[in-house]
Amino acid sequence: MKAQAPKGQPGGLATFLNKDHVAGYVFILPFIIGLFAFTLIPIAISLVLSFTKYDILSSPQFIGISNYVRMFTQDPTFWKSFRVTLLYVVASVPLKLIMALFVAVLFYRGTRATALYRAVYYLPSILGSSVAVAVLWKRLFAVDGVLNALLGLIGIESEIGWLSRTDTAIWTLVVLSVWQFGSSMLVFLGGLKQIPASLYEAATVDGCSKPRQFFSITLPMLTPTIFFNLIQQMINAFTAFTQSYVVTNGKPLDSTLFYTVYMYRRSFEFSEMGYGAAMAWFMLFVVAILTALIFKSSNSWVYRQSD
Amino acid sequence: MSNRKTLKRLTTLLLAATLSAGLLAGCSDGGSSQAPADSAAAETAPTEAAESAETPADAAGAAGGGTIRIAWWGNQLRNDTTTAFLDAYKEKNPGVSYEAEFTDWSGYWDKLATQAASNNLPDIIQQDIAYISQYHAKGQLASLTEQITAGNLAVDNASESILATGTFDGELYALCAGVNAVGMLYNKTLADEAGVEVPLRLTYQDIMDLSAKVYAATGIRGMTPGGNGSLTMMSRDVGEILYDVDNNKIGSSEATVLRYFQQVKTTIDSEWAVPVDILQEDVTSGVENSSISTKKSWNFYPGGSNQMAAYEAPMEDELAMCMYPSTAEATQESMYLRPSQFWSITATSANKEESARIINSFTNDEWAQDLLMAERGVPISSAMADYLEPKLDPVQQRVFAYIAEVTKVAVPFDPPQPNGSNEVNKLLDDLTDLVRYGELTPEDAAARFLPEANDILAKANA
Repeated sequence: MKAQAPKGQPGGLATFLNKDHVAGYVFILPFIIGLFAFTLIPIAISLVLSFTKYDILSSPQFIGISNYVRMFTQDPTFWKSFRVTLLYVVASVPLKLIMALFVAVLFYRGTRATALYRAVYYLPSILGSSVAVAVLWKRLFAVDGVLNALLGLIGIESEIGWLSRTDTAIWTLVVLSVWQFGSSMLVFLGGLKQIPASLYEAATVDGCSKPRQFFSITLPMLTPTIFFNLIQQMINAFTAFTQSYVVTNGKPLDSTLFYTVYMYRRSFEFSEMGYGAAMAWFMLFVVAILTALIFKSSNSWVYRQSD
Repeated sequence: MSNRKTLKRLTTLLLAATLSAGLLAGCSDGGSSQAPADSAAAETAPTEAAESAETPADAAGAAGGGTIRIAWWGNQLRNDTTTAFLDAYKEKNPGVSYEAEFTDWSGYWDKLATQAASNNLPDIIQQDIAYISQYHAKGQLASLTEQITAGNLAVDNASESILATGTFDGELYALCAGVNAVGMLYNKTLADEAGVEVPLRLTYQDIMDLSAKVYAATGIRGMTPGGNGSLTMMSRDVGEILYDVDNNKIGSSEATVLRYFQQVKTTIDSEWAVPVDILQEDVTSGVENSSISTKKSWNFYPGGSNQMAAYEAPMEDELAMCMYPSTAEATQESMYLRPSQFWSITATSANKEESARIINSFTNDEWAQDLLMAERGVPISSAMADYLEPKLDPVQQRVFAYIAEVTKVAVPFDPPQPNGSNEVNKLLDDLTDLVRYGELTPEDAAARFLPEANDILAKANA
């Protein structure tokens, strides 16, 4: 079949729209517009803004790399928030992945109730970073909260505000993150299904114990999935915001001040958009480097089928 | 074959139509598309409004309309009363509709800043003394004097000193929404139970003694001072101003700052004090879950008289107010009346006339007072305050009585806070927390505050 130009108007709009590749572009147009308007162009603008002093209410002034210099040399809170975020990433990501893997293995071969359990364990991930969950968390760990009430039941009288102590506050946020292991769990479940049953059968015939099977078959075969989850959860953790902003607002004594919250504070509360933009670009740089490192290291630990 | 072609053509046509419709909708003005019923009125409004106004009261009935966006921060009580007022205004003025945007205090300014950046500020915004000078300096506010001249707004029954706080270079930019006085809120029921009498005027030492007694009798703890409100009052006690706006620096002396941090330390270390764990939770808890409303503490300061109703709402007990405590070193009066908040019209508003009439109704209409019930403070119009007084519920009567007492002694308030004051207030909170947690001595905190705060002010106003 040959594409025909409509009669009467050769080269008109109709002809143009009727071309196959045009239809394709029209279909992806909404996405492209969104991508440019809400992602690419703002990213470019933020790079420009990071070299300016911009208080939102008046127009930006170009000040060179001053924001970056100030960030690295004159702002202890910047480094503090960076350390807090790093601790959060290092603590929450592995714990969350271990939890997700554990539950995934548990529910891999299951009974009829398994589907229900999977849904239930996935729920926290949907509620995820919502404000409602953050408020709930605040109540759980308050001085007159649920945790202290439970401790009271087993005879431990506690007047600790878990979110008000510098040594416990960040860990409650880590727990909140680990609790949301559902989406990683689903990915692990998918990965588990990919492992050929014949491997386990062979291992069983050879008299291999269950733990040995897990470490010698399941784990190595799962490394691509682990790799994917690791990257995704690391980026999530670096950009976490709601937990810190709503639950603790960085308190006490900035011990839960996530990088993003400090960036937000600089940008919107102290009206230093330029400085906030500079912080954003530093974060992008750090995450990019770490991701690249993980990718590089993957050659030595991620199993690839084609090898 | 021709069938397939037709189908394909139809699809592309449909696609193109949908897309262009979507684009058009995206470009059109959000305000006008949301209230189709009002569009006829909205079109006539801008041209006629300026001439049509005779007296403000009549003007409300004259030509007007359109959708007015109005933003405020506040508690549930304020949201309810203000929404009731706006609904009634809408009913009395066919053609006018409104979109309310309310949040709590902490999110409000972030939101406004974002909207300002995108030239999308609401028509009417509630303003605070800490922000008006910044918004005015950046040209975000429209002159209210122009609206008074045009007859859309009347302020005849308001005192000069109340108008002065929103006036820059002889032009009014922010109109006080209610008069308010700072002080200490306390649980009267609990104090009676404990058998303590709380005088109208007292010192920090008095409060500590009272708190100890209340704690001994009832087991309910007492609040400790902290934050910029406390330092402001301690400075005023000795004739200093926390923010020396003319010189872009902190006006409080080293001695005052040290006294502040020592007071923080002495009180938090007392047996009766609300522990730092709960103080931290209070920061983000909101009025309804605050220590005083949940009976974790018997008092709360600095508190505003306009907050009493909101704090009392979730409680069974009765609250009362006494004046802000003074230090032992006080040499002069520190109490003041302050605008609880202001109304401003934004420079970008497309409908300043109707916005002014809404503010006018808020300020001068009796029916409006019936709905608002002085939630934002005593009305600035003396006529409205007189009208409202006999109708008040018991809580508000206590507030009016308290304001009347403060009026007898009040001296003028500090000038609006300068650029950078947000960050200085944050620094003060941080240092106060460090002292409360025992990480810093009062001496070290005081030594850090002045140079760091002055540095912030210098940078912000460079």
